[in-house]
Amino acid sequence: MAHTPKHADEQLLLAAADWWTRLRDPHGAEATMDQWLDWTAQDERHLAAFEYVSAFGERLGTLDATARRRLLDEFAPAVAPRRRNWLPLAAAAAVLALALGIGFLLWDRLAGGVGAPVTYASATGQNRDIVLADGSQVTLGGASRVSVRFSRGERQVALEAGEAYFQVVHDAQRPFEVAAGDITVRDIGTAFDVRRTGGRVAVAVTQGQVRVAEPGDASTPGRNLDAAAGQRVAWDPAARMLSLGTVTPEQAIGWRSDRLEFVDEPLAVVIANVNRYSRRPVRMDGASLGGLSFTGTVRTDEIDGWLRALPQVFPLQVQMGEHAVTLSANGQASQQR
Amino acid sequence: MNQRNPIDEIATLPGHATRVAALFREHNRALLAFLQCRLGSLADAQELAQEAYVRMLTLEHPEQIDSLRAFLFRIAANLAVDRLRMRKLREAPPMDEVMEPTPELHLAPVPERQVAAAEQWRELQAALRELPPKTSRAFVLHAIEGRDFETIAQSMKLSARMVRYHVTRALAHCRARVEEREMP
Repeated sequence: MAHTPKHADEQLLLAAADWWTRLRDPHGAEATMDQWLDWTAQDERHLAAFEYVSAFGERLGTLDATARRRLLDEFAPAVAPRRRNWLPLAAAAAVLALALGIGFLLWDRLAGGVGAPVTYASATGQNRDIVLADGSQVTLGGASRVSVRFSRGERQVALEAGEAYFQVVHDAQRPFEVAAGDITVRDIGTAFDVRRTGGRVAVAVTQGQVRVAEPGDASTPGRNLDAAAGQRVAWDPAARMLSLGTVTPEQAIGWRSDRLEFVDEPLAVVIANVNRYSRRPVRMDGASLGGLSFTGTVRTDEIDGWLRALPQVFPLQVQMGEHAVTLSANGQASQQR
Repeated sequence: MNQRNPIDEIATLPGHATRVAALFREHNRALLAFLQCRLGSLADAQELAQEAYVRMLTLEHPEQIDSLRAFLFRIAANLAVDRLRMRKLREAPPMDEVMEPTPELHLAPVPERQVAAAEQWRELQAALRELPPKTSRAFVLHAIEGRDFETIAQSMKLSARMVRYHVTRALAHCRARVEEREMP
């Protein structure tokens, strides 16, 4: 093997781990196995990542007795302690741990410490709720990733992929900032959604107010644009421009209840977002289709139905393959036949 | 790969044997991965995979089977279920033997092993501390203590699906955080 899967990216690891737990479920349907085999056939990295995760699972299951006992005691203590005679020792250990913990916190505070960033990611087709250390809540859309870095003076979040909805606990002393592609969004007591499709970013405000900053350079700082509830700011990396529009809460965060809403978006952007929820990746054959503009709703539990209906709206053909769905322009597809 | 591959030894039905040989070439790696996942042991996986191929080769009416691949994996899955059941029986000794220390406790490990194992466990501990308590708890109970999802679901008052979700997160997270190292 030329590459060890050591550098396999997070999404792939998450997918492999998901298969690992699904296959270990003794009640898992036989269909799961077939789907898993299809998945391994899609890309040779898939099986490699799965083997990587599975070998790790074996190591965990065969840890020595001491390590096992310690991990169980720390992470899965029995609800009612059974060994009463161990209690004084455990209590002493807890006091020591507390003292060390406070010591660390103090040190961290005094140093104005910046913790290592923590990354949260969601699998394809799954939303995920996260509560951050400051109480702010983040909902990740499918196949999305944020990294979070909190320090004494700042709360910084980077949306690395996909979409996330932020409900921010306001703290004037400690601004909350979301970086997405080229732009940054700073809350002014707020709930807002950020969707990133490659370099394209859309910020929809459902509550309060945000300040969106364009990227600046050494000579000129970027412009700021304030947006309030009901407004939407879009960043087009090609035009390098922010634009302001309106948005309803349903459009902004419909995805939290399984509806992806699009208003006048290029089909390429729509498909990229649909792919965050689709079991089979959807590909576009030919660039001409990507520019078509789409307005409407896609139910994430009805993606296949939506795809099948697309030819009624656009001059394209849909081929539903076993592992992928291909959209091709009408003329183009007939040439291939 | 193992040279003692049963395909070379038994060839009662040449046409069928060729097809099984093709299955072996195309799917053996996936079969081993699947069994390792189920059993938590590559050695057991290899043993049961061999057994599965032998059963494929000695089928009475292979022509009646729609998909040999699906059939191979179904045989393997059944073998895995049997193996896990046997293990459970062995792990639940009669009451008077319960107090016997496990062999691991009185076999002093060689020092290097101990160091590698200790480092590995510390990395794992650090990775687990970065996770929400429910996530690390479900994961430790499943991957380290070996409890099934249903049992964990009951003890944590969650659905089995949520338990699987927590285990998945934790597994991916710990896998990414814990350095690849030789097995101690």
